[in-house]
Amino acid sequence: MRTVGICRFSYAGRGGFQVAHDDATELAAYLYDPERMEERFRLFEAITLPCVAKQTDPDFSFLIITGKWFPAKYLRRLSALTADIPQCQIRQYPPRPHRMIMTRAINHWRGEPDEPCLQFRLDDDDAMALSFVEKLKQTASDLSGIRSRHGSIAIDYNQGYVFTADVEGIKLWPYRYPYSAIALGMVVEAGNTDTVMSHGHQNLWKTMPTMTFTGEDMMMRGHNDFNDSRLKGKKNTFDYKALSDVEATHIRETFGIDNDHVKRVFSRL
Amino acid sequence: MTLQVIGLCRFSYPAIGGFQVEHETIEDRIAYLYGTTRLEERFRLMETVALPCIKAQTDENFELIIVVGDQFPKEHSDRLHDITADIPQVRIIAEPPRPQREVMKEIFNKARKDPSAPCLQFRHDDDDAFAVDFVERLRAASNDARALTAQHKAVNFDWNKGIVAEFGPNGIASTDIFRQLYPAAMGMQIRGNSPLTIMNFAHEKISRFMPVVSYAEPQMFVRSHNASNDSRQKPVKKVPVKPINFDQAKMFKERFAIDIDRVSSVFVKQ
Repeated sequence: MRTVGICRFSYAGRGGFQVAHDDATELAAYLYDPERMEERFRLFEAITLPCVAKQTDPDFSFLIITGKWFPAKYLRRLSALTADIPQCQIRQYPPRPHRMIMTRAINHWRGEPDEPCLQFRLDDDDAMALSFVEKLKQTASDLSGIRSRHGSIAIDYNQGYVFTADVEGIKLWPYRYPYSAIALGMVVEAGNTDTVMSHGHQNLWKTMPTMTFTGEDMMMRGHNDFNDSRLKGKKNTFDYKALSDVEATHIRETFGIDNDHVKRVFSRL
Repeated sequence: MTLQVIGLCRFSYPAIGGFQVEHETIEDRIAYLYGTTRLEERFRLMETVALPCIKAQTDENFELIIVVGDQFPKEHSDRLHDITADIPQVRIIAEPPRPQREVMKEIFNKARKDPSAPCLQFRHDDDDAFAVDFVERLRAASNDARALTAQHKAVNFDWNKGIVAEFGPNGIASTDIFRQLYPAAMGMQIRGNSPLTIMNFAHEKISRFMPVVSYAEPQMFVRSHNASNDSRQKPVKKVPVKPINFDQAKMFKERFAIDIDRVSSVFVKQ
């Protein structure tokens, strides 16, 4: 089944950010601030892109959505980072309500909805397990009975970690969380133009059948200085722990994230 | 293959543990549980809310085990037998006070006719209702998930859309809710030869232990809020409800077999 992932990379839309900004100029100034962009790029390079590049099933597209006015130097950097990952496609959109644009991007990729497809979302500072696309396809096949009765089904994996990343490498806290925006997929049947971005991820279970899996580490959720969902003042604090050698191996094998690489990326001046 | 479907309902069973209201001794607990005012409310809810949906199930091939204490006074025991007499799926079991999960697990496992075959299990609270097509939908959901149940020891099926309602002499007041992993309108498939039961797990934590298939539609459960709700004896957020209108009364009757006139007349009795 055709499969697409969607990832916003500092897309200056309207709505879809939890920190309110009064106008597009102000939002752009916030989004494209050099210090913020440097951190986003480093996370994208060290955390997110490796898990895209090393999926055990490479047959999928990964749309990276950024703004029409994304500064040229950043666009060049983004293109360079993704040049060797054939699944990555950078798409630029004007500032519009973010759900509308994300829906449009997915359906543009899809074309005529004559065939079912698989969609998933991943934020630009998170990672999914290397087996994610493979498992998503297997699950879609296992759920054929439910699929025959419903236009879409969400497929969710609730186990993984929250992490921080900096010059000291990754620090982890294990957690379980259903319907997070990481490792969250959706089967969309032929004739249905619904998308995984047309709904708030937390509310998917109120609108369609969902399938939640547990027991395997499938997601890494980034907590960092510019986490959009954590800038509202109510920060969760986790007791992050540095990786042991065994954990470092587990994280590398599960998510494709190399802790030494993370340290190198964050040590650059 | 037709799966065995087993439901379990505690009716003021004096478990050791297992209630959210704590008591110093088991005698205190029994005195609380069998208090006349409390028990009268429990009986009225059982009769008008919890039992009609059992009798009205579109798929009649299931069993509902009702567990009571072995010292349940005869007058109450007789009353329970009377109000369930015309429901062939009901079997009443009396047990001495024992730790709640231990007893419930044992009852589920004893009820399995062929332990080597998979079965479907559900819980039923004595003041809740589930939709009249719940057993039918549970079987269909299980059938649709065969590839999953083949891979996992247990798979949970959950319907999220329901109603919170208050019942009394004035009828029914309600509000719609969405809630995940609430015990009503939830079922679990257990693999053959596995001694797991739905009572091995705290309901709200089930998604940490097994795959969960959830459905958003249709409206599948009614949770009653009343004076003797075990989980609401501590200070909890009030859920505002509104008296139901004619269409809602029709829906209560069709989806849950709950009859507003019957509710009013049973609750007005002294």
